[in-house]
Amino acid sequence: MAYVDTNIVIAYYFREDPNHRKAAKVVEVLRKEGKEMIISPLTLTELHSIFSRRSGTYALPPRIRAIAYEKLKIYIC
Amino acid sequence: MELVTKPSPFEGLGYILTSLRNVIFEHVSDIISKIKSPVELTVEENAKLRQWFTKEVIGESIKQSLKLLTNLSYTVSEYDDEIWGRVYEIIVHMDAKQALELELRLAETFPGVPIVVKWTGEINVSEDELADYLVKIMMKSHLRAKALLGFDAVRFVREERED
Repeated sequence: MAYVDTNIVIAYYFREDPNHRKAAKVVEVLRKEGKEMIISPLTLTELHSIFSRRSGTYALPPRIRAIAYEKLKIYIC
Repeated sequence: MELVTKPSPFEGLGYILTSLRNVIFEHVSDIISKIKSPVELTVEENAKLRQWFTKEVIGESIKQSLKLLTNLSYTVSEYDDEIWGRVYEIIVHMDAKQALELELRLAETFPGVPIVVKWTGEINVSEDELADYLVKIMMKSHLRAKALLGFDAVRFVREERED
């Protein structure tokens, strides 16, 4: 069993992150070794916080952006 | 006395096959060099080729697929996005569930192509169902969020913990 920290989760997801290759390597090794990867509720909280506060540092695909915009319109109304 | 040996019919056939193989190899190598040449296009030429392909080929294929996937009316528009390239926006006159099912089919058919399906009918999906559909669509479309210049997960997490 291996605890995967928040920065590895994010760097693994974003191919453009400067540490993406390292994170991908870590995940690949853990997978090969058959280790179960776990995260904690703290990771989920950190993910939510970082993606909320740093929304200008990444671009959502048009599909998601359209929904987010529609939701925003509803909230504004 | 000179000994003359006649080649057997099989040896003759072997010679013909070898010659034929050489001719084919020559043509293949000629074709391969022709295939390789588009890589040498300039950035501008490559962009033009890509633009033509996405506009003419993918756009038309999406319209053809829509004809097969739904009988209800729809409109298709396109716009160029700085990050995602050509985006296809489809407005369908159906409810949310039907529209999301349609989008899922389109995502399966056109992976990697940014397609947005909007609907004019009622919203008959819960927030959880909508989230489920979006995850499925994202998985099928192979489109994921892109980090912009300056994105650094390690720094973000460190700063988050220092706050």
